[in-house]
Amino acid sequence: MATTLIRRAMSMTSRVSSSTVAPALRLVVTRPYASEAEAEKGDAATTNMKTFQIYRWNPDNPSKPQLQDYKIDLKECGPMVLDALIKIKNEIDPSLTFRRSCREGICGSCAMNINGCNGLACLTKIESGSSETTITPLPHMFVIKDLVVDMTNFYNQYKSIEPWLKRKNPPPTAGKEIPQSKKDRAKLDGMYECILCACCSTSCPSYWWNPESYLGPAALLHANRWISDSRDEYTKERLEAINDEFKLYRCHTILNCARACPKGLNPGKQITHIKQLQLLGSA
Amino acid sequence: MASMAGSSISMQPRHTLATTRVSGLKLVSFMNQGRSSLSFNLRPMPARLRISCAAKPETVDKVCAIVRKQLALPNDKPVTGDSKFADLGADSLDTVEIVMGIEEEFGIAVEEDNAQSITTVQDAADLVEKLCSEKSA
Amino acid sequence: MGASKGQKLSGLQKQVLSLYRGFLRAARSKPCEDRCQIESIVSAEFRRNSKQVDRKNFFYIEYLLRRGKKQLDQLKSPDTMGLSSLNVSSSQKQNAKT
Repeated sequence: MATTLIRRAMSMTSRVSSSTVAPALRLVVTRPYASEAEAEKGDAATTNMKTFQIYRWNPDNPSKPQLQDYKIDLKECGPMVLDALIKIKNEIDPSLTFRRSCREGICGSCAMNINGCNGLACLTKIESGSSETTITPLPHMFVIKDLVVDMTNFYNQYKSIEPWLKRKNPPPTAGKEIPQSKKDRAKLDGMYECILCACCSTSCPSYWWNPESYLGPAALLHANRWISDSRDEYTKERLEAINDEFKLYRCHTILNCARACPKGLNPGKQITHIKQLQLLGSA
Repeated sequence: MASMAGSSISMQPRHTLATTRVSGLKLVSFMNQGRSSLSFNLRPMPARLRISCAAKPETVDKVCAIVRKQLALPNDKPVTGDSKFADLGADSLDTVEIVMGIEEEFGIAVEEDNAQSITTVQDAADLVEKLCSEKSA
Repeated sequence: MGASKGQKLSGLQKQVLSLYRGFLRAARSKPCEDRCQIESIVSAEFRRNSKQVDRKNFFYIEYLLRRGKKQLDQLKSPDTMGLSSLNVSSSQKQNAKT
């Protein structure tokens, strides 16, 4: 862990310097940091070109959407797909549109479909083996422009599960927080980490079929997050609210969601938990 | 083709709280029970005959006036019950405007399906009568 | 959405007309002056698109419908007073089209 961090810090400094120093000097500056293997490769070939096929559609110029090819040198690019996108936008085509913010997998902005798999561009390494990487917007979402999709429905579904603490009684000590045991807190692991990037929901065939009526894995995971919270006093009402043929039971445990989640969560498991509680409640 | 115009629409928020709404119109919704077959109007002969004995002449006149106003027709252009909106030069957007004008004038609400089936002045007048009678009933 | 002589409207056309009706309805709830302005902008926008947009470009028409629905939702809010239209033209010649 420590070594990777250091290497990352080094590569960042080298990148900063390479962009400010003239090209002739760049080799000298980067060489000391590069590993031996990298140095060898560098001797063999000075460039490592890679093609990115990126989905393009612009509402101001309403023609059919198409894939556009961009070739960039991986030697002069960071390791992640987001680095490549930013490089393309900076150096080749400023009109390329995508969402990005934190570049470290905590904001969930840069969710997109990379080589057929949903994921965050900032957490997905550029495949160096294959010659091409195809980047398209999240599947089955309405496109606003290029890789930017309309998240309104997704957010409305999140809102519909009332993702906040709901209480019937005042807190045990007036004006103070509501305490929770370590054990109860641990029940929220595997859920509180969700960043609502929509990778899971947009990889779910059930969600593709019923994007409005089925809440989808992300919203249901959050529903379970509040159902499982020891401090929340509306557990029964919450369960009742989603006990619906479409809202909840369109989940057929296909588990594409767990596969897609860039945070390594398993929404399918959380949905199963809700279904179990529904059974217990009705029994 | 070099010209590329993009237009955007922005909303202006209201800062004052005092909002006096125009309350002249009553939004009353009716179920469409009777003439439910829309294709009826496309077969002109029987429909026309049936309808022309339905609406009162003053209603037809009122509708004619609205149509004249919405389409900004010259005075010498004849507008009668048999006039088709399309023949008067109205496109489908104009037709929507005419129906909206009629709604306001008579204080009624025309349902989506009904609104889209109206193609002549007579159609409109007939529907107005029907809705007005339902409203007063 | 050109003139149609008794022609049956397509589903997409119906949606467009329904959206237009929605805008005109929403405009009614605004004060008189704002209302006139909204009506003229909305009408101009629909008519411009009815002439410019290729009627077979469903992808784009559906996009416009979704955008329109969002704008309508915003307009419906009592906090929204009116509309303003901003025209950005990136053409060298304004009349290059004609």
